Amino acid sequence: MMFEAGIAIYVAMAVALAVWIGIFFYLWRIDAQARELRHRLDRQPEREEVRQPTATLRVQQRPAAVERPAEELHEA
Amino acid sequence: MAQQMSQITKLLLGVWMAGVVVAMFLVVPQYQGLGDAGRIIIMHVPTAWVSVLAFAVSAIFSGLYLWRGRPADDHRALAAAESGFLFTVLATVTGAIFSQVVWGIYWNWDPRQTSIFVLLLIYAALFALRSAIDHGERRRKLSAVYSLFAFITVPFLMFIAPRAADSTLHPNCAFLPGSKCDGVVLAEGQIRLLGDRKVELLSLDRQGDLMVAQVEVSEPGLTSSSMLEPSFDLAQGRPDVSPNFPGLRFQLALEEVDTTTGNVRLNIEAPGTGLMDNPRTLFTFLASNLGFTALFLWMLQVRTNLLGVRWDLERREGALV
Repeated sequence: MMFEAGIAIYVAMAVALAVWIGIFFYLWRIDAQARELRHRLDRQPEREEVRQPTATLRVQQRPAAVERPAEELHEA
Repeated sequence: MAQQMSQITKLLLGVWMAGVVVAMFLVVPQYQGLGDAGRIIIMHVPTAWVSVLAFAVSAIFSGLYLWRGRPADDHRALAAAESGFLFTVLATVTGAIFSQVVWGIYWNWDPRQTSIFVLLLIYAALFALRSAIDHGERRRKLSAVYSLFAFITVPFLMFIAPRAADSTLHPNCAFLPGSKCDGVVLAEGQIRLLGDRKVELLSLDRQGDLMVAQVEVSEPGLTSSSMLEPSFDLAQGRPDVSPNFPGLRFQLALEEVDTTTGNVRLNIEAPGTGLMDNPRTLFTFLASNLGFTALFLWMLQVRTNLLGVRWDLERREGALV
C-alpha cells in the first residue's frame, strides 16, 4: 500500500520532512543550550589566579684549587 | 533585538528548507530516464557545494589563527572542517544512492567517487591529528597548517579530477561545463574508449533517412560485450534511437554522421543531462543551495559556540595547556 506509485512519493516526502524537522529542532535546542552556557559563563566571575609555589635555587661555587709546588707538599 | 532577528532568521530557514523538501517531491518534474530517483540531485549537489564552502572557511580561519593566534579562530576552523566533513559524507551517500539507481551499483570506484573518498580520508586525518596531540597550542598550530595544506587538494579533488578523467560515469555534462562530454569520433572498424567502455564501429548502414550504426560495446575489463544499434535521423539532424548500455540507464547515442567520410560521433547520454533547463528544477535547486548554505552557517555558529564554551571551562579549571 505504502509503496504504490501514487502514494510512495508522499511517503518519501513525509519521511524527508520528518528528518528535516528532527534535525531542525535538535539544532535549535543545542543552539539555545550553547547560548545559555555562554551567558552563564560570561556572568560568572573568573576565579582568582592560584599562586604558583616558587623556589630559588642557589648554586654555591667551590673555591678554586690552589697550585702548590711538589716540594711544599712533600714537606707538609 | 539582534537576538530576535537571529531567531526569526533560523525559523525562516526551517520553513525554507521544509519548502525545498516539498518542492523536491511535488514541484520538480520527473527526469526522463531516471523517474523519481533523479530528485535526489536537489540534495546531492548542494551538499557537495556546501562541503567545498566549509573547507574553504576552515582554511581561512586556520590562516587567521596562524596570523593572529586567537583560539576563537581555531574553533571556527575546526567547526567548519567538521561541518564540511559531514556534508561530504551526505554528498557521498546521496551520490551512492543515485549511483545504485543509474549504474546498478552503490560503489564502483568511479573517478568521482574515488576523489570524494580521498577527500574524506584527508579530513578524517585532520581530526585524527587533533586528537593525537595533547598540547593545546601545538595542536592548534599543527592542525591549522594541516588544514591549509588539505584545502589545496579540495579544488583538485572536487573539480579538476572528475573533469580530467576520461572514464567517469558521473553526469558531469549536466552540471560541470568544461567536462569531456564530446564523445568519440570513429570510422568503420575503429575502436575507441567511451567512458569506461570499449566501443567498436562494426558497420554503418543507410535505411532511408536513417543511418544505423552497429556498435560492439565491451564491459570494463572486457568481461563481456554486446551489440547496440544507435541510429541518426539525417532529415532532422539528430539522434533517432539511443539504446541503453546493458544493465545501465546510460544510453549510446549516434550524435553525428558524416556521410562523405563515413565518420560518426558516438557519445554517452546520461539521464539528467540538461535537467536544469526546466525552470522549476532550476529554482528548487538554487533554493536548496541557499538553504544548505544558511544551514551550514548556523551549524558553524552553534559548534563554534560550543567549542568556545568548552575552551573557556577548561581554561577556568586550569586544565588547559
